[in-house]
Amino acid sequence: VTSAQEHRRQRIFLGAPSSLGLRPPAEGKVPGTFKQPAAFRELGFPRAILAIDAGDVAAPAYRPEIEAASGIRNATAIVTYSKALAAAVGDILDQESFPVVVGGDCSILLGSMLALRRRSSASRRYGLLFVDGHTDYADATSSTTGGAAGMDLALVTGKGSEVLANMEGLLPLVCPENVVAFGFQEPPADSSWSIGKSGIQGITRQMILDSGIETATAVALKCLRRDDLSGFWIHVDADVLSSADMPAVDSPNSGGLALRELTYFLTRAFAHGPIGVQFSIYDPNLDTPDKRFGRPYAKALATTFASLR
Amino acid sequence: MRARNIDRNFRQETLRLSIEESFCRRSQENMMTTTDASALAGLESVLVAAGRSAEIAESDDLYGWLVGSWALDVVRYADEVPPVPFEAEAHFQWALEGRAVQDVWIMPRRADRTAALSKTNNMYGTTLRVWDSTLKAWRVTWVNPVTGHRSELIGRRSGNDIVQLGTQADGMPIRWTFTEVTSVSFLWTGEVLNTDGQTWRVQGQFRARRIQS
Repeated sequence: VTSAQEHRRQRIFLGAPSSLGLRPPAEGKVPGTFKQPAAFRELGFPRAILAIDAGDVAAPAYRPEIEAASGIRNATAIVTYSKALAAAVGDILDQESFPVVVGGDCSILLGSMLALRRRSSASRRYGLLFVDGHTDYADATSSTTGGAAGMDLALVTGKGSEVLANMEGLLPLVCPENVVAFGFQEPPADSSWSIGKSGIQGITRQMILDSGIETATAVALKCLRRDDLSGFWIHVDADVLSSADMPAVDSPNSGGLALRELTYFLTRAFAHGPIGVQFSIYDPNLDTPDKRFGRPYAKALATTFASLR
Repeated sequence: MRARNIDRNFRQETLRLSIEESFCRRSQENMMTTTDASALAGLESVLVAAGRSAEIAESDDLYGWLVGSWALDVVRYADEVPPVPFEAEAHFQWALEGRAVQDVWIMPRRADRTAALSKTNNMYGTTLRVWDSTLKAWRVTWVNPVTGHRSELIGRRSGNDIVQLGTQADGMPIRWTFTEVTSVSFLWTGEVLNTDGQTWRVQGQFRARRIQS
């Protein structure tokens, strides 16, 4: 093996310490998800996955109020941040390395998807494996929080506020048909959160319970193993886990995946050679000081990288 | 080969001989002397900035704390620990309307530089760190004319540290970090990734103490 080959998939840890997409936990407070990169470093995650730590892409200042024009909190800052994050992710991909982006809240998805969209062409398209306890398919009118972290899947697939969904005139950042959502709690079919008619392929938590994690995983990955896709990105939101395993999130999920199920799923997904991955929404402020929940979570995630091609 | 054919002395000597061989030797010598003096003042006035540009947020200011002069103890260089105390120096300043932080990094320090200095363990180079608002990071370019060494990296904050990643000429990833940072000291470490793709080898390490703000 030449050194050039070895470095083709060098893992690069990139911190995305943004809480821009979340509502304030209390008046005058900033959500603590921006602390996740520092917490993962403290837990030795970059070293455990054999990654080079490229540092953080610093986020603009958090503001609690909702912007009138878009109906979304920090929309202007999220556009700025998404472009910066896209540039950083793009830079890693240009080096033929493997970005491991650690948020931050789920709104960092816009930056990652913008990076891939910038690289897309008629003959080069990318998919998204969206692993999340929620569909994140609200828009500004149906959102109860005004936070982009509940709208990120909608925005990247072209639904919602123009200022975020159509960055750089690249709407949609990813075609709904090239997205698989995995592990979410199914919202009512008539709600605006439903992805039933969106074209996104959904594998709900209930479907996983019914078929078993092995079958559900195989189906999800088969959907993205297509000749017309040049690769796929993995988004992992910590609230896909059951609140028994991961309560330190903005919206705990009592019926979510067990940690061993997520570990199984990601191990298989990494074996399919994704082009990058991101981990979002874990909030150290909501964990114990010794990171009772973050520690086993980070450790379990690290083990899944053993299968990464 | 004469011992003096290195570094700044060599370049100055070459320049002098070149001028002597020119057609208008005397007038050109006069012109160069005048131009050098005024150019220096002119360059300084347009290069150096009083502080950070308003375009760079305070939270993005990774390098402003370095402005000033530093004495450096060479802890390790070229894969070796110096057998005797080995000192270098570095000087930092805001530049280019405050959108960049530039340094001059000198090893050995000027007080120890002689005409007979080998090119080994020899730096008289400069680093330009330029804020890239699109990348929300610093683009770092280091050039050492003594050896022809040139590196380009991207610098970001990593907790309390500053990490700068790039690749060297053979494509191997390099990592330069500022750690153990205080207002009066820091540790600078330059590493290259080993061929196992996992471990790093320290190529250079300097421990700095501030001598002038």
